[in-house]
Amino acid sequence: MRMKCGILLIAFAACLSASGTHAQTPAGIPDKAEECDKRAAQEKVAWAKSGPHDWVASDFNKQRVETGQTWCHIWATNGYDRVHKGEDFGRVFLTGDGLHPTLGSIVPGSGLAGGLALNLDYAAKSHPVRFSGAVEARGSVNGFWEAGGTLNLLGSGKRLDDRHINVTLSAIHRELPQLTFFGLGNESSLANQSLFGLSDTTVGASGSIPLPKNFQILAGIEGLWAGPQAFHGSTIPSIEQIFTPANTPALNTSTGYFVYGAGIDWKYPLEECLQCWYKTDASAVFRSYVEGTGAPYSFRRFDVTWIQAFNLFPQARVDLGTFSITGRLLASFTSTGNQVPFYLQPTLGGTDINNVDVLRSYRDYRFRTPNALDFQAEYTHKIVDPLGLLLFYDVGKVALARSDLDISHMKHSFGVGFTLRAGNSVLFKLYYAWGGPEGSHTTYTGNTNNFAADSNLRGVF
Amino acid sequence: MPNDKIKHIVVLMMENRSFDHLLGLLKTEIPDVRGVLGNDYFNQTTAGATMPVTDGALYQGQYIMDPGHDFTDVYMQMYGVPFGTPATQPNMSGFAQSYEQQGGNPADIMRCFQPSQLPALSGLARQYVICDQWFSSVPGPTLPNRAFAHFGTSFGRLDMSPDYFRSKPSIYQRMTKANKRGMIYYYATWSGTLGLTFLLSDQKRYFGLWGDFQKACSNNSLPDYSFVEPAYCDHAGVDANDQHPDHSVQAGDSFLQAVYEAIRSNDQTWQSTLLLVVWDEHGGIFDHEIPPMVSHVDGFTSTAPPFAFDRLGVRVPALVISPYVPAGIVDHTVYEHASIPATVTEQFLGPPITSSPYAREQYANTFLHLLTVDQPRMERPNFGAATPRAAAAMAAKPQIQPKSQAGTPVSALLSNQVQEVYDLLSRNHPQQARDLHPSSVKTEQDASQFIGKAMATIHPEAAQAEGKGKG
Repeated sequence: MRMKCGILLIAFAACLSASGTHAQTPAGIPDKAEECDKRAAQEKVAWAKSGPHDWVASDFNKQRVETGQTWCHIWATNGYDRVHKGEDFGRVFLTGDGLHPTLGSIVPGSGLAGGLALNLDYAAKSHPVRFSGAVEARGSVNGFWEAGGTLNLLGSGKRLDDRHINVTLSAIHRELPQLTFFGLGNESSLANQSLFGLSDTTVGASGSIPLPKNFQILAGIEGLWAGPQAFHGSTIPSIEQIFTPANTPALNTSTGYFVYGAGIDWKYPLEECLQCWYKTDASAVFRSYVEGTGAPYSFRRFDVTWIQAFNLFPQARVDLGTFSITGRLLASFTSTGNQVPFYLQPTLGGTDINNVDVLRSYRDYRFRTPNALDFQAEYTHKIVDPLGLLLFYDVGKVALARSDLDISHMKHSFGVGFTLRAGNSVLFKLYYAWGGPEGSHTTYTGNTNNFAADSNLRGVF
Repeated sequence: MPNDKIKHIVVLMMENRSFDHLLGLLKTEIPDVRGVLGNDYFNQTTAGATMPVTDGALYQGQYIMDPGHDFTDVYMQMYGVPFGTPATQPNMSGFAQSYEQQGGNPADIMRCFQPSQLPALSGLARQYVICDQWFSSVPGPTLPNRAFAHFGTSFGRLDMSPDYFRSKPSIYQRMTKANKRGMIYYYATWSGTLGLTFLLSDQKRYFGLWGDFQKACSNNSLPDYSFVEPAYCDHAGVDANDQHPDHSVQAGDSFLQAVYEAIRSNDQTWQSTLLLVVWDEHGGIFDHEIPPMVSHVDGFTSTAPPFAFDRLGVRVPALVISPYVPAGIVDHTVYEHASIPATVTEQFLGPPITSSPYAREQYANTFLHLLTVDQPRMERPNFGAATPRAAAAMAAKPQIQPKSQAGTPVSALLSNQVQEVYDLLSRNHPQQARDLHPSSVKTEQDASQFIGKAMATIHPEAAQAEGKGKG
């Protein structure tokens, strides 16, 4: 079995499959399973006789034959067995090498998005290097789309701890036609809600090198091109109708950057364990954004994240609860005369452009400045697997000046929700959040693309 | 019979490699192993070209096309005819054609690893017990075979949907009922476990991660029974180490060593543990042993594809490792994956014939009888391998070559092989060794003749069989 990690998707496949016991067999599909298998065997023989073929073509052919065979099995079986055959079809259709459909969202506000992903693996014969590549394109019901590809190079070979050098090359373009903007600062007004579009393209390489004592070095270089646009297709005003370049840096200006950076990451314990009572994951990364067209928008950014998780009942035979605290600091530095373009500034509130949710009772992208500080406390508790209870409390603030990054005047949110888990991973969250003067927010996070990432379908986004 | 020295049974189940592929060439140094010598078995391609079994297996990059191992593929591999064509007796002649039909190179499916390429596996094989008649339970893919390891049956299933683990009396639940503890240790949350629905129902009762296993070994707190799963996919700087084609076999060999080292990290753990290392199925790769019929079927059958579960699948590598097994012996007992819960049952729950729920497990051979040593053996295997550079060179170049070049100077690697064969000959047949002089080997042809003469003494039966390929 190839790509067994994709097995998490199989439950979805069962839903997609026809599981009725009296469904009509479609034309051209045998009603006996043995005939399905005979036909698949004949197709394989025919492929061998028509060869030789290159491995990519053979990969596609294999997927085609197996998709047809497993689809045929669905119609050649009945009852509960048909559900199993549906799961088997889903495994072939949604996972492994080849072309697969994807479903999910792109960024908050994009609406449901769907597309296709092409996944291919390759391992070098004479060198201990492994390659995995993915090309993916998705469009959403609200006109958002993104397309891109990644190529991951992973060191291989003999290491008792199985930690290797890892390099990822990627190229991604996004068209995000309607993002919300409320102005800069921690006290921006909800009444100033406006819309803008953003096009961005990144081409880069990033990597990690394992070090002793659970440390690893992170490094990367990237070309980044980004440009804002007006959006007039709504009753909500477009950004330039409310804001000006004087209070919104690079409001009408596209920018192009050479980005380079490095950092360090530390995990303790290094290996995941279910019975450990705590887990630490800390990272600090420094990046320099050098604007290449001469526009005054060069800056540097320091990004620190600390995640401390506590398993409250490590010896319990069931997973009773996990409490985690996350702290994030993001500070920007500019030389005299330079500013950080508004569309490259971090946001707090709802969910941000990287699908990270902080201050969840507020609107998506609610607070925006070059600097941000936030803390989150979350408690998850099993109800009946796979359902879990989620309680959380978020505090955070954004700051126009680094000197304002303190714990005064922080916004806060708290909430309750449900999680859907597979094993130790939270795949979906549905929650209701409140706190602060701007009401409440009900939302969900998670999509099949997150599944894809967790299940090694190598989602690009 | 239960063994009172054993408090823990650990099973490491790797992925998709056949016995001949990983351990077959150990026959060159341990004649009792029912393996291969190279060029002694062959398959034919669709066009009739001969594909001999040979060395030259690579750590990765050789099976970019995953060799087929669904039921219908294995039918072709075992019987030499496409599924749907009636056949009565397997002859193991269809591996090359099956892989050709996948779009792969049929020569690659016949390749085997030299023992020196797999220092952990070979080192453990020399030091403990090789089970050379361990067959996968089903001539099919991963999940039905793993189901036999967990339940003693696959409930009539041959496909890859994961529902085996729901509401069925697995060995873990049976252990719990008897106030014993059985756990599955999977590598990481991103890798996942093939016991998925267990995971959803009662995660911490039955599951731990690789980090938990290491900790339990070092603290001497292993549960009675542990089933260890490797990493099934690459992830952020971690190499998939399950050995599934085309994952790195070298990474898997390291993981095998890591599991052994974890158990050796605490003497009390080591002195109370029985470790089985086994592969779930052959992954479409050649093996020459014909899988036997099943003595007692359990009544479950499959309709799609039709199968009565009356024949075992292709042979897989298996090692039994414990301080209480003798060094370097080969066990020819027929085992299958139902032997795993049967052995755990025999050790902790009672006689399988009365304590196991399904016939396959009730009648499966167990491996506790291999524990014949009274005092715990504390010596360590020699994991010394060829240097990484030599190993890479060995991996990149087949050593058993049907035809040697007459004037080509012998390589350092081949020279080493000559010396290894000579050492073996000197140990086992010192009188005949006097007639051979490794220092006189100057060319590849010399080497070929030297090795041929030596092997004719070491394995006369193989010399007779050479050229008379099976199937």
